[in-house]
Amino acid sequence: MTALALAALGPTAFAALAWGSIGLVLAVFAAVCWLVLGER
Amino acid sequence: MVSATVALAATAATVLAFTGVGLLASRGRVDSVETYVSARDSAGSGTLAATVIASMMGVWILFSPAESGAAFGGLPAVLGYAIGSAIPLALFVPVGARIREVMPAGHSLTEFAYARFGTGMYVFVLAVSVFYMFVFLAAEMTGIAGALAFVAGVPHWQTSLLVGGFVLLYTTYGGLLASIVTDTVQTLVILPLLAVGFAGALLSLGGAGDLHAAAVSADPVLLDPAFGPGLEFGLYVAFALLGANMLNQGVWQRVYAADGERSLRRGMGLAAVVVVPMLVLSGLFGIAAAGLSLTESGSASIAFFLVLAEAFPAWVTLAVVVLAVLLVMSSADTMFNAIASVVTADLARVLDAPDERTLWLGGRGLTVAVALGAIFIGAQGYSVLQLFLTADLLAAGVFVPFLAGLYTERLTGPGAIVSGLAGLAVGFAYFPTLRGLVAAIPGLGSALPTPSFLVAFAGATLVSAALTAAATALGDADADLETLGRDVRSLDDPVADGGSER
Repeated sequence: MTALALAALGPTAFAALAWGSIGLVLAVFAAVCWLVLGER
Repeated sequence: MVSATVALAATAATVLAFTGVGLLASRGRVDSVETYVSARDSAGSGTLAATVIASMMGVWILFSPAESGAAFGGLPAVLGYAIGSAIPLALFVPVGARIREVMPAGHSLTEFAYARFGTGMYVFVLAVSVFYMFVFLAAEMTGIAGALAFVAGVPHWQTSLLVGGFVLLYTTYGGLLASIVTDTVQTLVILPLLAVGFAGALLSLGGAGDLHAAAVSADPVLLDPAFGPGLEFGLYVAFALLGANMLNQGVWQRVYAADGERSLRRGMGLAAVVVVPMLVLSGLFGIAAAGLSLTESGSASIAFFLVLAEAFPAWVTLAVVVLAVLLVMSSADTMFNAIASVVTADLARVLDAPDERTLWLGGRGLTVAVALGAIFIGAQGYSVLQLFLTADLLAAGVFVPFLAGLYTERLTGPGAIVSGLAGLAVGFAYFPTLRGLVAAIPGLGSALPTPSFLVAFAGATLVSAALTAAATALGDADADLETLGRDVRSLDDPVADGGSER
């Protein structure tokens, strides 16, 4: 099970998860900024 | 280690700045108890998203997801936590629209419980909801006091008093409006701080590749998406979070604060989307801590801060102190006002035609009482995990019949109560945390099944759901959902108290 799982989440997938999460947080930050400014 | 004086100064500067924002933003605008507790139709999509994110994401996100990644099952536990936190917010898109449709002038979830089911279910929902919110609040105060004690040796009582006292100041003055405005600014600081902070940690620790190698080398199951205990943890946390958040008055208030269904949909949707990566990032700190063997002494609950100390110089810790203080402030002001609003809205019904002054005294007096209680508990440094789990279980048992009342006219009050109690009976039978207490009930000790959090939380939810379906099929309540909201008392007689008459 472990071997299968490690294949599922290798270093590339791990990096994608970490950097993708960072990117998504920043994207939502930008979206919230844009929406809040649009309300003014 | 950062000195206690510097950490306290950073904390004081943060709370002072946001107290100023809260006071200025609400000055002259809180002209009635109605505005104090509902801020109805005042928030657009962005503001709603920001206030929901800030309200729901307390300082717990720096503790629990990291701890789950380090000690409760690695990646699947983290993913379960993240997705489980997003589900209730996504569910509030249709449920929130329905709440606004059924009780357009409502203020609180208990108001709905009373109007739809009567006194019994009202008391049930009131007790579970207030218990959950107060435990959330106490956990936040305990969390920030513990965090500052760890990074700078600040005594618990000083942190608790400083943060709680200033949040109390602007929340008592500006109510929900102050909370929403400060939440919005806080979210716009929290999101980039979290993203940049984690990116910095990732790079300081050698990059994603090195961290992955360290995790695999330390314990391969940390990154195993199919690791059984991790999956089980992720699943039960999802059930626990679902019930608790559906009974969170802070979210119900924001459903009414949205300036329309479009804002509700976009605001809740955005919040649901961002919760996932926020918790994944925090959880990855836990996996990193375990991978770097930082949690060997059983210190998984502070895994986030252990990685912080490993990856960054002390001055960066100050930025995290600010982040943690913002997370606490934004959740604490929500809970202060949410608990006060539940009771204030009910005072209008329970007391015989109370005047505006009585309602003001009730609303603000309760805010002060709730805050003092939370500050006191935060200063003690208790472990509130058992209380949290108990509150989650109570919510898991009651939320399905409660919400079913929004959609069916057939479910009766007794049917809803019996469904909830049956769910709780199953939940407590399997609940590991209070096993000693439950086993002490005569005749039950030897009959109790093997304890399991997953069976307890899933059982409470699914059994109450099944019985709710049965009670709905058999029920004949004939409640008229079209007219349910017509008896809701408006609280909007303007007074010159913290605001000006229009």
